[in-house]
Amino acid sequence: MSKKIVVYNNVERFFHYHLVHLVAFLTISGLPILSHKFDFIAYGLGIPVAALTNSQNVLSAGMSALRFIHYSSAFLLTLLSIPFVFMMLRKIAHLSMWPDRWGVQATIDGFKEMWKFYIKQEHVRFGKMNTGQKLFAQVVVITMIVLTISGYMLVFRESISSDLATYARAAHAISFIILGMMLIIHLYLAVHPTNKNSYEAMFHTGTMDEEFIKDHHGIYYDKLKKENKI
Amino acid sequence: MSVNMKCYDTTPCIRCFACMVGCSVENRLRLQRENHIGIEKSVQGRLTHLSHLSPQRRELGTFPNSRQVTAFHHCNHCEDAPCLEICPVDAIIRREGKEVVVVQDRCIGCSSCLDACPFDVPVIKNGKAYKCHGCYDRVENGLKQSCVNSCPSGAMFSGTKEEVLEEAHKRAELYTKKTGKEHVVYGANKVNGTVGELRWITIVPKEDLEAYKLDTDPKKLAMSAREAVKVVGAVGSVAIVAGSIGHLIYWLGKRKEKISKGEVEEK
Repeated sequence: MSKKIVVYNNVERFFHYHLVHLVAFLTISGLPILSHKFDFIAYGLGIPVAALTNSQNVLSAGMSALRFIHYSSAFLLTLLSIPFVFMMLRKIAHLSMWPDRWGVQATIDGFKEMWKFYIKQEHVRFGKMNTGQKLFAQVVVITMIVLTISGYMLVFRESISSDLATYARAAHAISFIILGMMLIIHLYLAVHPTNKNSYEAMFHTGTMDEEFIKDHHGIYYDKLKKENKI
Repeated sequence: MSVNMKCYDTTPCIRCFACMVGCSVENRLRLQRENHIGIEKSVQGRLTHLSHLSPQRRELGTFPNSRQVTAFHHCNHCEDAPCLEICPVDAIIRREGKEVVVVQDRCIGCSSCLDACPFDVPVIKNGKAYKCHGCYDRVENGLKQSCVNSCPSGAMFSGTKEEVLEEAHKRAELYTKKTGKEHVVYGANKVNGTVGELRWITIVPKEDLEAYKLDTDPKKLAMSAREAVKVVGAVGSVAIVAGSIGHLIYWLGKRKEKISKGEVEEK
């Protein structure tokens, strides 16, 4: 039987697990503020809320409840992020999101390898993450920072200028839209059959077989060997 | 009911600010009439959020060649009101006379209207947005707006769009002829793509547009960028979902082909 290697520790798995539903709450509660196309969410929640609060306006009641959910989820996510961020900062130089090789050519090669793997279904030696996953992680970090800062600026908008609040609102929406598009790709690839082992490791076991890592994540395997972690 | 319009003529304005007082008084009386506030309380506080017309007096030039101008900060009841478009709870509506009005009972005080308005008009107070409502209740009952009613010098007048535009253009032409300075009717024509025409127009010397803070291209770049990215996001998201479905179908087909050729094992 192949040896099990821990690829995601308990803090990472706990954070990711709760990140999933908090981001879902934040997305669902934020979409109706972003566009009238999502008013049905506010109406859906507004019907029971208006009935309970004796409110005459279903849309306003729904939107007020969604704002409460949005603020609460954001606050919980902030609290949850503190230990995770500290853990990541401690090993910032060794994070998987940094490229295995730097430079334009290395990035192009990374995309060629992804093409081989996802389109041609050929065997490729990846690191813990492939180029697409690394780029995704970098975009997530940047957009989450912008979302957090702009979100808190909007919560405390009375302390800042009107112009700054307008920029914060725009930055909040733009960074969410970028993150949202990336999340669709992330969700698709997370449940894709090729990523079954990663999915299992993230949501259930935290580990992968040594043989699987050697075969599919060769660069990562070499790195673990070099660091005497295997 | 036809479109109702207001006009502020800068030339006969004597800077008495009766319009501002009239506006404030009318809004306090409204609260009393609707039993939201007692008479004593309504006259005690400053209640600045109920003064929808704020004059900003400025002196241009240096003595002895100086002169005063009074720029008014107020809602323009835009044809394409960005506040109305962005309000997530449909609390901003357009009345029969095209006045852009905040329905207080629906407003949740999210400040979206404030961020969208290129003239920075709405004020948020006690979790609600406040701005000029064009005295729609008076107009719909055959009265003039409170500010217009208060003006002693005819510097403010209102009526149907046709009446007001005719009078405004006539006055602008007269002033141009008498003073030799070109006078324009700001807001009579489409100002830009963000706000369209305005329902509160101003007769002003063309050279003083800036002095009267009449923006010839009112817009907020951040909000324009937000709207543009929303379109990109919608198109991009649909493309990504379609691409993902396409990839899955292609991938499964290719996988089946490889299995049938014996290149990979079925799991």
